[in-house]
Amino acid sequence: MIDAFFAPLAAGFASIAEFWTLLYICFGVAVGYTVGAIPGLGKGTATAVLIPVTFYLEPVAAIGLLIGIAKGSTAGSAISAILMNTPGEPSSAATAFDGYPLAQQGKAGKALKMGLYASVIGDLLSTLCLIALAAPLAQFALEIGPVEQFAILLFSLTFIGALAGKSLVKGLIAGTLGLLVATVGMEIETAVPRFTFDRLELFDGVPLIPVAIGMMAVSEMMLQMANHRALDRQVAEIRISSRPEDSRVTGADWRRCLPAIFRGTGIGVFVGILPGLGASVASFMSYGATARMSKTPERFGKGAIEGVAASESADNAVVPSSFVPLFALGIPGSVIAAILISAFVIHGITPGPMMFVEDAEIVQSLYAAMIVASFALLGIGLVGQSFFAWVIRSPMRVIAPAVLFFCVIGSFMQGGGLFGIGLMVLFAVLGVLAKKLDFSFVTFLIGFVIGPSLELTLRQSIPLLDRDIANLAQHPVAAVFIGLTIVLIAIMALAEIRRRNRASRRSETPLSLKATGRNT
Amino acid sequence: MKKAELVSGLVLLAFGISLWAVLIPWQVAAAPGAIISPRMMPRLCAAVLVVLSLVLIVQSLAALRREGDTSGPVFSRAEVVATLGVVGLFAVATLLFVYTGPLLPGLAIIVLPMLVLGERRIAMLTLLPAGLMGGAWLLFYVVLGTSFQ
Repeated sequence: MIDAFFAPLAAGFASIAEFWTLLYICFGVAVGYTVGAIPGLGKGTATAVLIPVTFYLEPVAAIGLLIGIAKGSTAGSAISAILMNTPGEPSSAATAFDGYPLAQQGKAGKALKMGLYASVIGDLLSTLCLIALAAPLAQFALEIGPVEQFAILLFSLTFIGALAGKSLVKGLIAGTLGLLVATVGMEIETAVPRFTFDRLELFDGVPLIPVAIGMMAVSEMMLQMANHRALDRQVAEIRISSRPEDSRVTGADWRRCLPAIFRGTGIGVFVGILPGLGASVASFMSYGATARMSKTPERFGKGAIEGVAASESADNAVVPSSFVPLFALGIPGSVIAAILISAFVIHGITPGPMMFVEDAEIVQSLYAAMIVASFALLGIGLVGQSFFAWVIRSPMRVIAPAVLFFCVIGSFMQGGGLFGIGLMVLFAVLGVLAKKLDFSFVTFLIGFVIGPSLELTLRQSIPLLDRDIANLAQHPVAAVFIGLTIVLIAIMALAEIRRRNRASRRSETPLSLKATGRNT
Repeated sequence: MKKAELVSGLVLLAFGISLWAVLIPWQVAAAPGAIISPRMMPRLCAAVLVVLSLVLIVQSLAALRREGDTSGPVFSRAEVVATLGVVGLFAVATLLFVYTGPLLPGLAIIVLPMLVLGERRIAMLTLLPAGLMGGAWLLFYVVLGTSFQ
């Protein structure tokens, strides 16, 4: 059993023990750390923009670099949360609750270090969970047919749509629009072009990278540029203490934080495996659990170091475990996993259960690369923390043009030249609309990525079921997932109706009180 | 926000209906010999879209009737200006690319937003474009052996 776990891992380490591969992984972590520290930028943006660069690398180096970015960015986002009270990514918002008060007390160094240690422990343990869980799950997935695959894909998309945004209906609309955009191009069975408007560039479908760059990076830059003065004011307020005792993590700190770190890791792993929940849910759950279980809950929100540890360990544990459905089933559970699919495909690898059969050596090397990235996270974080703290002082008038420049390069290289830039701009405007109107672009992108698989398995399922839904009884796994999809929609719809009713009662109460003169 | 939800519901409803009635018949051939029509998936999406947008419209109408809409505009003026500005910037850069090659549009994409956002330091206005464009040239032209043509 232990051999079955470690022997492939040892082979993976042997295959990546090469200077350039290790350098690319470390480069990915450093880039991710930097990007994560800057508010508004994140792992999705950085991976989408850098995919064209990885086109020329070996598969393991390329995907290792991108995974390094994801890991580094998640850890880096704590820096701005602690120093500026502005999380680099939404998932670090809970870190700011105690990190920022610690920084105000002059203990920014201590908070940053504990955030880093918690991130590394959460990330490493979650990577080990991925290694332990993905292969058995893939073995199960190999034994299921298209009907079951369709049901699982449908359930995943509904789950993501229901939970990624604030509204079930808007989430489902976003997912449906993603599926619709995925139908552009030649239809798989008949080779009939769909929605191509006689443009050759669309015959292979809409390329993912310009869509992802437009929706995530360019739209975010548009909104950040509109708000640049406020962001620059926050940057100008950063203070860092020079007293060494404020920068050390003591034994007492460790005793307080270790239980929170292990609890946070467990929550992060569980939340990461479920598609669509995301790191924000994990970090808030972990922070809340730690505050509730504390003997001194009144310290939370005023600079409790274990609050930082709880939030950061859960946040970072989500990233590796969110690759479990991607590696084992080919289902992207997050935006980063959706973007990684295109990197896998560029390098001739199809994520999913067959990857463990056809590209077993690459999977082992990827596992090893992920463990190396965890240690690189620690080394680069410790050495470069001052540098990253300096980077986030860069004003938006310097950051935004640089990001736009990289976005253009990424879309040009991956989207077929100027056509890719046109697509990027179109989806950037749609991204702004989606963000402001609260339609989840995460669900849109995941719908877009799983669209072809969903359609293919649906097409295969219809003849297999003999065009009779009653035949679903012969596919119990599929029947369970279809049932779960219906139950999920019903539960979320009821919850939404209750929430709206509560909101309307709240808005009515003050008026009635005012009318009776009883309002104090 | 509720008014915005109502408007987006109406727009999506119109899109779903036009998708079913106009876009699919126009852009997807019927392929009568196929076991399953290539129109199946787009039609499914259109149907789901129509149903969901109707639900969104009903929800927002009900909320508007109960609570009214006291929230401010969804988009601030600065956000509209920034969005249109970036779209305009890319349009200019595309024209420059077609007529002059990659150098001038690269410069425009970096320098114009810097100036608009208030950067006036000559050193920064010179070094940032030089560093970014030099780095891109080194990476893509020299190391990776490709080009932006």
